[in-house]
Amino acid sequence: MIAEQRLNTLILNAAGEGVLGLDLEGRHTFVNPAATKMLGFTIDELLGQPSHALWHHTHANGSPYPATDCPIYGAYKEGQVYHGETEVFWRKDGTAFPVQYTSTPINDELGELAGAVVTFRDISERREAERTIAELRRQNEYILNSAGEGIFGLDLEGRHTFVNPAAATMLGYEVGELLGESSHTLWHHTKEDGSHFPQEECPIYGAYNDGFVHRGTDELFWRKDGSSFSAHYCSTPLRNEQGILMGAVVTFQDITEQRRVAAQLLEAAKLAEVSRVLGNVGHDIKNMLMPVLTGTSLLEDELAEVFAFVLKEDAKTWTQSKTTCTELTEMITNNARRIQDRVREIADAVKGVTSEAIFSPCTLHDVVKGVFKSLQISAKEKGVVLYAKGLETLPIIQADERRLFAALYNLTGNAIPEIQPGGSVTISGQANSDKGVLKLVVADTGKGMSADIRERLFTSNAISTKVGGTGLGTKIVKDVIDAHQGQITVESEEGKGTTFHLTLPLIQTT
Amino acid sequence: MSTEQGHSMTGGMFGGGHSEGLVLVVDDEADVRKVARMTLEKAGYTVVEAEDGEQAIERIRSGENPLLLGVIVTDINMPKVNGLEAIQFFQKQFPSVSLIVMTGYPNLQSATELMKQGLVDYLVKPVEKEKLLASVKKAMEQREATRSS
Repeated sequence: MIAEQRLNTLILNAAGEGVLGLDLEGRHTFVNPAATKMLGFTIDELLGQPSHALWHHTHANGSPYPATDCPIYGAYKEGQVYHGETEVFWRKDGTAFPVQYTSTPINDELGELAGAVVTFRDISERREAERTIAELRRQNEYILNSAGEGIFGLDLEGRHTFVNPAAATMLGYEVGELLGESSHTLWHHTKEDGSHFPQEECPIYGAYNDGFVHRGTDELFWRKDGSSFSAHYCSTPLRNEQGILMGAVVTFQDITEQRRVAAQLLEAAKLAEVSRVLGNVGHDIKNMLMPVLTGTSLLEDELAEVFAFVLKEDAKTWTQSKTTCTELTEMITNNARRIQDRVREIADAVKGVTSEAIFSPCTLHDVVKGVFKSLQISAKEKGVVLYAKGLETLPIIQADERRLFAALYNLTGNAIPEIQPGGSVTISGQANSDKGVLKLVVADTGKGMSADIRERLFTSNAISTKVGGTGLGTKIVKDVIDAHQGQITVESEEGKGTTFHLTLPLIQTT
Repeated sequence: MSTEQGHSMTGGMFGGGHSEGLVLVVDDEADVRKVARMTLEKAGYTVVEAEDGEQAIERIRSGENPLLLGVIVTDINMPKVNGLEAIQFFQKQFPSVSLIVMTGYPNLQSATELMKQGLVDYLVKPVEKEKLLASVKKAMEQREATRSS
């Protein structure tokens, strides 16, 4: 008997849980060391003292906890076992800790209710862990919800188990509309060529079918409204703790913009390469023109000498022969000069694409004069007159003179071949100092252009209607005007000519 | 006129007859050299040709009297020793020789740099006959001025 009591005491002393006995009035009848340690009282301070008043007097929120409300008392008075895990016990030093406790009624040898045994544990750590888990869950949800990539989970039947807002937005659905629905049939049903996309071939399905990670590059995802977008995605198999395949997690991105930028970069790279090649070709041609032009010039001199020495026995033949020689050498020189002009034109175009604009004070009247001078011969050949109106009085503007020259040269030069003899190109100007701009109008009496050509005019896709034309002319013009932060518009009607309206700022702001 | 048409610097070339001066034309294009030579010869100059910088240096060195060389007209984009390297060599070895660049690949920066270093002219191909003659004449005069000073 005594041995048994000793054993009980040993067990109580060794227990990690707090164990205390209460009599019918709620006073401590015994307390084990774990309980005194947790509550911060000595055994003497506890024994015989009412438990509720010592360490159960106040709720966790700070409000008083009347003994009459206490479930520990309530329970054992009714002979009931009571579990509590939402309350706190108070230490001697006035601090509290969350507990999980059990109050069990005890009977004396006669079977009469004698009190209760309360076992309790400090569950601060568990509460802390729970808080951490909740926090993590919130964070994960936050990450999923704020991720720019679409993220969703699929079960083994391919139905959505969760969907983040980005995924729903990209697909044009509400999150709720997707949950529980089959992913493949909703938005992955059709291939780019319009043919049906069988689920068995789908890499997303592959992940939860064979358990490997599957990636899709550049596949079409279909929106609720029937439109589609190119997506990159990664489908990763999802397994539970036992390693059993549960479905898949899919992350995806809309790569429409990425594709557009890539296409743009490719376009720019192509343009740069074309410019480089054109530049090289231009220089080569200039090199090759040197023997032609200088050689012809030498030939002219030589012929003049020859004709001076040759006897004019047959005056008619001599004159004819001399005229033919002159005509031929002039023809060679003229055509070589035309080649040279065309090469210069290409070189200017290339510069327009490749070099930085340099702004300095610029007199438009002089630029236009220069342009007209360069185009004088071709205008004359076509019987076209070039007019400049009201340019002398224009204010000096800040501009890149070379570029402006190239723009006006292109506009005028492009117009000339399309004009009937007797027609004209007129460049007129007007300053609007209030708005700080200058307006130039380049008007021709040519055959005008169709709506189709007009629309493509200022793009790299412009088409040339002239033999040997690059079609780049107006694109160059647009680039020049853009470089000056200006604007260009065109009015044109077939059969009635074309008018370009250019607006240039007087001063360049950075 | 030498039968070798100025392809080598032999004695006859240096001493024979009256000459307005000796001009070395350096260009990898035979036809460019030819028209330059014909233009200059017609104006009374004696002309030596070279395909590139390396050959130009060789030609001058193997010549009887390099001091007679008045003007070098050179391209700058050539295989092997290019014109820029050749120009540096010429300026070092023959500081009194006048230099003219004649190029189909004009570059404002290198033009400015070269002009600063005492280049007489920077001609852009195709170069007109009259322009080449005017340049060589100017270069020859500068050369005479340096020599007499």
